[in-house]
Amino acid sequence: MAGVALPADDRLARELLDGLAEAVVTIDPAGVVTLVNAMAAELLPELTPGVVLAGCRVPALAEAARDGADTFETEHLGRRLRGLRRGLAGERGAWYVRDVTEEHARTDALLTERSRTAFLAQAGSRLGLSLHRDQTLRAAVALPVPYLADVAVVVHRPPPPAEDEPHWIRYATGDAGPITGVAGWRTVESVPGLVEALDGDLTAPSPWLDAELADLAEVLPADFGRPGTVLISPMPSAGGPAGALVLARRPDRAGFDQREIALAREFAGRAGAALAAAELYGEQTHLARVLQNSLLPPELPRLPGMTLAGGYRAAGDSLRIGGDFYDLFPTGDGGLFALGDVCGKGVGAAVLTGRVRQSLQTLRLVEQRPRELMELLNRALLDAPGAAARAQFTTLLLGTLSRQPDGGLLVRMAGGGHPAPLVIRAGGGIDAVRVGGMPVGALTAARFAEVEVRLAPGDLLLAYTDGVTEARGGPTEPAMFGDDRLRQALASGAGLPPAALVDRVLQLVDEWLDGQPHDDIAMLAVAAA
Amino acid sequence: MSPSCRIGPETLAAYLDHLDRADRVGAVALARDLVAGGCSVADVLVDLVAVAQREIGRRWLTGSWSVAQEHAATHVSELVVDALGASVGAPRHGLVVVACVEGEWHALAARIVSEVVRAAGWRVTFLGASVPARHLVSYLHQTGPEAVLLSCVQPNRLVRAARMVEASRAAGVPVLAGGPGFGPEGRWATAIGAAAWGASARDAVRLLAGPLPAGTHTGPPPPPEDDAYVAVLHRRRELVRLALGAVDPPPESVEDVASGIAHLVDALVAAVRVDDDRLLRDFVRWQEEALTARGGRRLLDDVLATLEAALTEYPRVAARLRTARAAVTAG
Repeated sequence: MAGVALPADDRLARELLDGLAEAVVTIDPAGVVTLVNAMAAELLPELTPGVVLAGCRVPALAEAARDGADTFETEHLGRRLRGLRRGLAGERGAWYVRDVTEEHARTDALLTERSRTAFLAQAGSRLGLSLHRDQTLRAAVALPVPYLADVAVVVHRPPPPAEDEPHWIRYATGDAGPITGVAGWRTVESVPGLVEALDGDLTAPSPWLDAELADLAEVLPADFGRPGTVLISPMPSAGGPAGALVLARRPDRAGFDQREIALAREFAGRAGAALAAAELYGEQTHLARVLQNSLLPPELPRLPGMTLAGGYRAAGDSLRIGGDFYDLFPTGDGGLFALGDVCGKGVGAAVLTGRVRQSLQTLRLVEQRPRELMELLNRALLDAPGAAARAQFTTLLLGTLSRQPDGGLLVRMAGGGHPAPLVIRAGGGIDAVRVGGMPVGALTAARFAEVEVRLAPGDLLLAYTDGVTEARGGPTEPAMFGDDRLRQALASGAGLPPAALVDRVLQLVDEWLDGQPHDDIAMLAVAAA
Repeated sequence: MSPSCRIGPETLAAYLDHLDRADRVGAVALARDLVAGGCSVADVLVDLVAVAQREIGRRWLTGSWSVAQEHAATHVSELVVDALGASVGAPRHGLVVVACVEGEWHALAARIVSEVVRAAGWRVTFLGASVPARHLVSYLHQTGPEAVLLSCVQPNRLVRAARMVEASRAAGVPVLAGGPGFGPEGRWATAIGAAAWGASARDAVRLLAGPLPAGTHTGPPPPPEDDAYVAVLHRRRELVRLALGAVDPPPESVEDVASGIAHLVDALVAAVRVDDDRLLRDFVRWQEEALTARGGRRLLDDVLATLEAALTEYPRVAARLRTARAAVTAG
């Protein structure tokens, strides 16, 4: 068609122009409007032929005209308009203006949805990381800032044994990290909507536009000033309300719109669920820890005339308790020690370990001679309800340490099927002390043996469980750590204090294992002086 | 150092003398006198005990001290740390956890960090030497600390360090790395996902005082640059066996040599993980120094050559081994 002459028909040209979905405005070389089509009259009623474009009452278009710009975009009469300027022959020009209101709204909605999804995805993964309450609370206040608010506060009630008093944790833009404090019931009650949220009332969260929130100041940063908008959402969870999320915006930021309120509410729900899971886990681990603390090897007492050290590595993964143990009780002229290995693994073995240790703790009050004590223990264990059905036994080494006038120690040991302890002489020689005997807790007619060893000053006695020698590893083919390697390790460490020697053996076994799983490992070392 | 605190070369010499004689009473008395004379606990631990520990390491490396002497001296320093740590006041900040990377038994540096951080007002739990990754994770979930301070002295433990950083990040706890195992100026610390690195206990205190945004330092760590990483990691044991067969050491030293080769392979895997030739080159030089002091240097070249031949299908890995070999032959 280009170059073909058009019929000079004014009516046809007008009909064509008015039929366009685009607004068309032509201007003469002086910038005066010469022609507007029907769509232009609807979108830009201010423009009529004769109006100077640079001074017209469509500010964005007037500005574009003044600056010689070729495009503009503006909100006008409730519509979003986008304009493009084209030069025409003879210094004249035309503006083509489109109504992009719907297109714009769709893009906006898409972008909002995208950022909302991204926010929730990040929130989900961060909240899912930790099983610890404090850690979860820190994530819950850090995540909404700055996306949803300028400051986020979670008001929560810590689980027992803490006192039932509301605590808060807060994070504001620019803070290095979350800050915590105790709120007190008075503060909580004076903030409108907070008590309801803490009670888990699912009233629709409503923004407090410029409300009287003087009491909220206590939990806001000192330099925050008066908040613009505050949004309080309950943090519901399966077990009841976990807390309340308070989001505040500065006065210069727009309030929460419906979509943001829904988002805040969803986030508060997820944070509440994460918090409840962490609380449940906390209760379980508290229980486990109390058990664990009663089963872990004790801190060894300091006894005059001797140096003691223990070493322990549990096989299990998370509980760190197992079937190996050691104990030491002070006596009049020294101490009474026990080192044992309960057959089996895991919680079952740990429970029996607890029983053996508690029985010893009591029985040693009436009997301190090792072999007699061993026999008593055997009877006590077999008398326990259901002992026969369990058929669990324990290998054990019991011994008394008595100070001697020459500065040495007399060790009297009774054995119950336990690996022979080793004496590392000050000069470097190593003797295995064969004790013999049968495991305890298995047979009523079990026989136990007893031996005596003298430790001169500088000598060291090392009792260990078979987890040391039976550790399977090695740099190439899996093999046991074995007696020879243990003896070699001890010989090269002759003269070391017990703690350093135990550490050295633990280190060598650990290196030997090279990350392979292992059985429980326990060691007890004692040196004269 | 506090203005009224003087810890000069004579003090260090006197302290080392106590260590040399395994004189626990003398060493503790010397440290206590310094604190009484105006030094802070941090001063004594950082400027005396930690400095002395580096000297102990040097003496062991050059063969002038036996392993047993090293252990005895380290034990004395541990007692000094215990004695000074007991005098620290009540905590004002949150909880941090200090751990040595699994397999790492040089715990003294981490203990010093624990005590200095405690003296700066933090609640500190020291989990000890060689902490298995799963123990760390269960501890993190139980206690929810604000940060993990992870100590790694030898770069061949870096792969295990990476595993522990990954585990901590997955538990939502950021990690601050410390120790020479993370490379010169800690250059490999961020490659495995640590939030930052510190050279000394004082750095640890400084880093803890700054912001540690959990959002950026938790979740999945940065992936390894080189795809060969997983493949080489899985062939670790096989590679050790191959190299051991190639050098065929006398029976009495098989285990020592095998564990030396295992460390070297670990250093290679670590170099692939952080994508830096320097890690392997420095480690090989260090091993060479230790081996030369114990008379057995030729071995290293044979080991590197065998590994290179075994890994030709991974050109970038083989190239790293070639570079390391050149460094040994040139040295």
